[in-house]
This record gives sequence, C-alpha cells and structure tokens, in this order.
Amino acid sequence: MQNAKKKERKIISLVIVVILLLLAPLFISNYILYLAGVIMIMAIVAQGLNTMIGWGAIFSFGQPGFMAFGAYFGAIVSRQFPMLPFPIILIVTGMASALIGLVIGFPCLRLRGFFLAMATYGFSSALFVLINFFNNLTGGNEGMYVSPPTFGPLVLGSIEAIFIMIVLIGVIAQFFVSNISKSKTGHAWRSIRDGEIAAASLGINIAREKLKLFTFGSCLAGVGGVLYAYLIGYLQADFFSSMGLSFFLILVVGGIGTIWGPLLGSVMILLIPQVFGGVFSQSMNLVYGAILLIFVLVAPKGFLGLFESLITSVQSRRKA
Amino acid sequence: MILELLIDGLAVGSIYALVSMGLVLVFQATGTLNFAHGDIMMISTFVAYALLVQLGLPFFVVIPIALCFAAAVAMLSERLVVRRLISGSGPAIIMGTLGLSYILQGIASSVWSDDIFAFPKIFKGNYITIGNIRLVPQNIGVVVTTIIIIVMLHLFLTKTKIGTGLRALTQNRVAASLMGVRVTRMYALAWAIGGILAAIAGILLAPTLFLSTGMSEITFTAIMCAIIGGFGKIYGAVIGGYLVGIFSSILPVYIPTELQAIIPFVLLMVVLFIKPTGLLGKKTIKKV
Repeated sequence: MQNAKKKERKIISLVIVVILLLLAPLFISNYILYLAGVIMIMAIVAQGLNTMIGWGAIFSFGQPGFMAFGAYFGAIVSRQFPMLPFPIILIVTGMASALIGLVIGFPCLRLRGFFLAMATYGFSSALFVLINFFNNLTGGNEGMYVSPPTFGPLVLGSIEAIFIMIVLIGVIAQFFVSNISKSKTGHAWRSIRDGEIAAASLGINIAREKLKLFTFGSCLAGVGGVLYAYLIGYLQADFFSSMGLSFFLILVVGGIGTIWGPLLGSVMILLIPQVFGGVFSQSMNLVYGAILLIFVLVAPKGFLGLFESLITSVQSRRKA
Repeated sequence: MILELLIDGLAVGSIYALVSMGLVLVFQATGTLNFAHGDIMMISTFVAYALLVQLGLPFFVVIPIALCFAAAVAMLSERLVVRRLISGSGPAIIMGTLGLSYILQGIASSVWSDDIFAFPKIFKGNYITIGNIRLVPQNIGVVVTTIIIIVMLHLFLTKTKIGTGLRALTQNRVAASLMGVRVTRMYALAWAIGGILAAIAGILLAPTLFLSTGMSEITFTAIMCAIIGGFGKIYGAVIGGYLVGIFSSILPVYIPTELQAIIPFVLLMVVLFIKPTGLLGKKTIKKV
C-alpha cells in the first residue's frame, strides 16, 4: 500500500516535470533551449553507454561513431525521401543503427576489456574517415545541411518544435531503460557485469545478452545522432570525432550504472564550459581531466553515489 | 619505389614499436593500460622542443633532460593516480589514465598552444643514393636507434637482476613479491621505462610529423599495434608496430590516400578475426 502510494507520487512528479519541460519553450531564450537540447541528446547517447558499461561491463569507445552514423543516415534518408514524416525517420535510423551495432558487435564482443575498447574505437575512427571519403553522399569536409523534420505538410523547423521532440524521445528512452533494469533481461545483464562465469553457470547466454546490450546502446546513440542532426541543422564528421571521450566524462561525473546518472552528468559537463569558458577557454581539457581524476579518486560512484551516501549517512544518524 | 616506401614504413613502424613496447611493458608489470602514454610522449617532446629551440641548447644536453622528464612524469602519474586505483575495478583505472591524458593535454596546450611546430632534425644530411634507391638519413637513423634500443631492452630484461624481477612480476605477482621482488618499486620502474621509450619515440617522430598536441593520438594506434602482436608480449608489440608501419606506408600506393588512416584498424580486425589473441598471444583460460 505504502509502495503503491510512493509510486503514484513518483509518477505524478515525473509528469509535472515533463509538462514543465514541454512548456519551457514558451519562456526560455533560443540559446538556452539549444543548450538544453544538446544536454538531453548527450544524455540519451550516454545512457546507451551507461547500460553497456554499467550493466554488461562492455567498454565501448564506439558511441561517437554510432552517433555520427545515426546523424548522417537520418540526414541522407530525409534528403532522399523528403515526404517521410520524422517519426518514421527516427524509427528507421534507430533500427539501422541497431543493425550496424549487431554487425559490429558480433565479431567485437568476442573480445574483452581493452581489446573490445580498441576495436570499437577503431570502428568509430574508421567511420569518420569513410564519412569524409564518400563526399558526394555526405558533403565530406565541407559538411552537409540537414533538412528540417516534417510531418505531412507540417515543417517542424523551429527550435521549439525540435526541443519538444528531443524531450519526448528522452523521456521514452529513460522510461524504457528504467523498466528494462527491473525486468528479467536487466537482471541478466547486471549478473554479467558482476561475474561472467557465474552468470553463464546460471544459464544466461552471455554472448547473446551482450550482443543485445550492445545493439541497444548503439540504437540509442543512433537516435541521439538524428536528434543532433535536426537540432544543429548542419553536419560535419569533426563534430562527432571531437566528442571522443566526453561520454565517459559524463558517466563518471553522473555515476556509472545509475539510471539518472547520464542526465545529471551531461547537465554538469555541458554547463562547465558555460561557467568557466571565459577563464579557461585555452585549457578546457585541463579542467575536464581534473574533474575526471577527482571523481575517479574521491567519488568513484559519481554525483549520484555521493548523494546516496550522504542520504544514508543522514538516515543512519537519525536512527542512532 | 616500393623499396623506398618499405624503408619509410620501417621508420614509421619503429616509432610505433617503441611506443607500443612501452605500453606493453607497463601493462605486463602493472596490469594497467595507460591511455596517457601518448600524452607523456607529447609533453616530453614539447619539453625537448623548448630546450632545443627556445633555449638553444645542443642535442646531447637536451635528450637526457627530456628522457628524465618523461620518466618523472610517468612515475608521478603512477604514484599519484594509478597506484591508488590499481586495486579497484577495471573502469576506474581506464578513467584514471584517461583523466591523466586530458590533464597532460591541457597543460601542453595552455603552455605551448595547439599550433604546429617544426622540430629540428637529429639526423641531418642529404639523400644517400644506393643504386636507384634514395635513403633519407632521418629514416635510417630512426630505424638504427630503435634496433639498438630494442636490443638494450632485451638485454636489460634477460641479463640483469632488476629486469628478471620485472619479468617475474609479469608472470605471477604474488610469487614474485614472496621471492623478494619489491613490487611497488617495480611498478615505478616499469612506468619510468615506458615513459623513456615514449619520449625517445616522440623525439624521433617529431622532425617528420611536426610537433603538436594532437601527436598524442598515437596512443590508440600503438594499442592496436600491441593487440595485433598479441597483448602482453613485448616482442609482439615490436612485430605489430612494424607490420602497421609497413602496411600504412605501402598500401596507399594501391588505395586512395584518404583511407590511409583506417589501415591499422583493418589490419587489427583481420588479425583478430584469424587469431583472436593476436599474433604471438596464447589463449588464457579464466578460472573462477
């Protein structure tokens, strides 16, 4: 009974937050909307990595590559078939990214740890080279413009419309991940993280579950990529290759393996340049490196972990 | 033509071999894959540049200082960051060395900026022509230096007591410490040697590739070389380095040059497909 009430309250508060977010375009300036959009996209892509690392111990450096794939795929599809409404493009791109994830994951997931990390890194960097190589399709170094999302006769070119789209997709992704984590599959995934041999002895098909996880993560990255393409309206391979390790940074700051960690982490990581940008513009890497080290050394569970341990210590003090 | 390219490839491969040897040495001794390896190389090359060009010191003074600097940076990283994380989870160490990489990158770009600098050549002189092959002194110097260093490292690891201790550590950490090998000291030593190898590679590479903060991206290529050779084998890293170097010099004759950057990756995929443990790697069975 208590639990049901708690759950109800949780859902109501979530709904209120989502409604507020959807209404936000009425009150906020375009620049802040744009920033919030980028934050949410990074959170979606980081969520994909979060499930891979946090649940399956799959260290993938491939996330920027999958994001670039999704962005270019979506942009090219919507250029070739301008009549397609945007939900179809989103779904098709998500499926295509998942397919690429399946194809890449099948050989790569036989590897472990560092080897896997390098293979996925190689995939990413090879993809960036290929994007610049096929310049008649992608515009190469000069980049390509992305046509705005359409729905029948409606052209959703304004930043407000795209922002609402991002919020909705983000909510769906978040909902999906939090539900999966409670399901049988979620438990299976986490048991792989805790010990592959033990999990295998419980009858979990490690190879298949890992492949599922990798495919899911790449699908999220691809969807994030399309949203990014819509938001920016212009694509260059450098955008994605320069993201490099920022997803790891986001996860470490937010808290690996937590459901809200990616969102929290990307809020913090993307706001830092806004705050310190003037002072440290020359050496942003220094700031990022220091943050990464401090978190890894002092608070390895990220901000959410810090918060949780604070709460438990307060509670235990209250009990005592 | 092909022979000239082959020698080019050997020179590039020497650099890769040096960098990935350092990586593998550190990995073997401490179980840590150092993502900041290329950054240690980059920042010590920058120090060498500052001493050489900005202070005008001669090479025989600069090189020892740069190598000591590299060793110091490597040992400091080990002492301050990696040793605190080594007992923790795998992700923590990866994140830790990635953090180090960011920091070194940030320091270099705030001190020297992200521009490209021309680095003076150690091996000067004109082309040497043998038959119709033109040899560049720089390339020959690089290859010869690398071979000397590989031989020295081999002698150090097999003939000296400290080297034997280092090898014992790679086989069984607990047994080695029970036999009187000072484990923490060996960690520091492995990192120092790795740093020195990286700095040598940087000073050899900088004249042909120019010096910039982007130089540190070599870490990833070097890791691929090490995996191709079979991670955990120092001589595997040498083989992997030379293979990648030669292939990425010769293949651009036959394929578009824009695709040169993906050659190491393709090579890695081919090797892993045929032999998932790398060329010299042995299959290990994991026990509970």
